[in-house]
Amino acid sequence: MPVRLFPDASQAYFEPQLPDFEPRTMWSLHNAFTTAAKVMPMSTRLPAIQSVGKMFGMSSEGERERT
Amino acid sequence: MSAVAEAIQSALPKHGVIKDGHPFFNAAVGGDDRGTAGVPFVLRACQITIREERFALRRDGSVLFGVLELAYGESKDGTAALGLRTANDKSMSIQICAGLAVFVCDNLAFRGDLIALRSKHTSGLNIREELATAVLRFQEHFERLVGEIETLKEKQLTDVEAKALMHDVFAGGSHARPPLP
Repeated sequence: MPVRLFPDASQAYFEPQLPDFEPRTMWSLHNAFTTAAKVMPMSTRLPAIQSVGKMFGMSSEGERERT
Repeated sequence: MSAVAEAIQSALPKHGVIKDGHPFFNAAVGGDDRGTAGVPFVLRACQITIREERFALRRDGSVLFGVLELAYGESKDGTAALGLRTANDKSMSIQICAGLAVFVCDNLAFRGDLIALRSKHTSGLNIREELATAVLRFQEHFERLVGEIETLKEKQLTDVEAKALMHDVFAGGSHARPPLP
């Protein structure tokens, strides 16, 4: 994720606009990143979201880590 | 011409990016002239409808990215999304990944794993067979993704943990480990 999106991600998590993301959970944080990523062009957005998914354990690698 | 093919066609620059006689974007995504190959055909064969589709080309025109929002796996959170990328410069195979289009905010979540077709730019490639296998794997990956999202919802974060994870994401993951128990 580009560092310039840090303020947007931080705001989306700590000052959520939607009640669904008010709970301080991993899912809310994940959505903060994907909200911030909306400004990125699709060609960089998709790999960035995938990378975030991997870091949040949404991958076979994450499954191995959890077992 | 299918809607997908039209989207690709409109995204292509006028001079064309299909080189060396490899109409690979169309083969992978839009199907052939009879509409009997490509992701949409295989999805239809699996009784999966495409609700919305978006495509973009990399600036040099060599890589096509797509997101297909599907009428599949719908829940209160969202519906399945298929991420796709493919190149016509022989740099990568067709790759797809499982995702969720989140209803409440129009966000996209994708698994970290790519489903890559075995062959790339092979003259004898049976694209329909390869894609059918890939779509089956996509369905498996999507089921896993749903479970992973439920786990993320249950995992409470302290502010310190959230800030640490933000750091790791923006630092490129060099210090990060999957934080789930």
